Amino acid sequence: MNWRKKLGEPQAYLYCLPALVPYTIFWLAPMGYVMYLSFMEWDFINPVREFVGIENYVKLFQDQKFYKALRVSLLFALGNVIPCLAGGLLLALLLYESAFQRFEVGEASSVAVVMIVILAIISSLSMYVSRRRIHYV
Amino acid sequence: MNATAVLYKTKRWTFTAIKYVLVIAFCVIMAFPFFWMVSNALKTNDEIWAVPPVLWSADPSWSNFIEAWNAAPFGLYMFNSVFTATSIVVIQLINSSMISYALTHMRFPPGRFILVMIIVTYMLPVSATYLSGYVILSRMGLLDTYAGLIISNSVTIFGIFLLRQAFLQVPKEMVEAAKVDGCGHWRILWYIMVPLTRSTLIVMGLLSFIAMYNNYFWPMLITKNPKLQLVSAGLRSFFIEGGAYGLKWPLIMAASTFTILPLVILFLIAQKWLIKGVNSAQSINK
Repeated sequence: MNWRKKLGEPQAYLYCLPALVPYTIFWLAPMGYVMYLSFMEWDFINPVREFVGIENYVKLFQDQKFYKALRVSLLFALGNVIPCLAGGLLLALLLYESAFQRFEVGEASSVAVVMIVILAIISSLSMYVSRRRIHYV
Repeated sequence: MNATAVLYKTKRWTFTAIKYVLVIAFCVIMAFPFFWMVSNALKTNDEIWAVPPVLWSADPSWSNFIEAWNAAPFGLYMFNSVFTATSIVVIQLINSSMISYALTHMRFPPGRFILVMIIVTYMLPVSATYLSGYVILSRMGLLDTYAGLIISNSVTIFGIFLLRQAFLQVPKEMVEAAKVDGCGHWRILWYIMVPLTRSTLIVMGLLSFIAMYNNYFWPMLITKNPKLQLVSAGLRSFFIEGGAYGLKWPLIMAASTFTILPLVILFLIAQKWLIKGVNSAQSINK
């Protein structure tokens, strides 16, 4: 029968259960619940919840703090991922080519030195920037 | 020996020397904070604040460790952390390998949908679910219990993903052969898949254990009882109460030192397995 083929082996569902049950309770359900709560006005204690529609979202998008948090998060993520991935890969490639394939030790060491200097500059810069931001908040 | 060979040899020697210098420098950079922690645990407060920093105390006071251990219930905190982390890792290993097996080696078309859903939720920030997760946990009556701490962390999406990749590497022929020999799914999973992907399982368990041992924010949210505090939260409360807001740095450093001990021991034990695991993982990659 066709639907039987589509559903697959019945045992497979049993094998998924131990992971999918906690996953549903502690990942999916909270996601849905938080969406539901976002349309409500509630203080955790009051048994009555009031439906307010998108009022909470309007409030959020008018809040300056939200934009600030968003900007800092984005900046942090980009500043972390892009230099780490691209820079690391490029420098590693350069190092590999010059040192391991051509045995140009001097060239390779210069790459390594530049790597260390760049890393030092980036980390001190990010420390300086994050310090400024934390103090302003 | 001609000139080129000599040159080549010197070049290689210099290269090895430079490599070692770089690696050692890196090791020193990585290990220094730990050395500093241990050395600060043995100093007096004045030595910690001394302006040309003192590398090693003139009179190491080992009694700091005993004093710190007695100043707060660290035995209890460490038991809590080790107990919850171990239970979580065991549960995670079992349920992740089961679902990964169903997703990779069973005839199970809805598996694709489940996998996509799981990977999509992996990208969502965990902190978005803290609020409603708390409410759900309180409805289940699991706030402030070991069960709540364990169950709410009992599924790892990263682990499922990792294990699925490892299970995909196991050749289908092997599973087929086991089936021909009369193995059911249950036996294939525990007697063929798990031993073959042992390395990944160990790595996953180790990562998970470290993450759970260091877990801070979520356990602190869902437990109020000081007797249920994990080591990270316990260290923080010691920092505030026992350490008098950072006035007793040697004690705080001593406490930090023995809280990382279980992880160091675990790493020392698991290291052998990790290297072995990498070798066997290579041999199953056809």
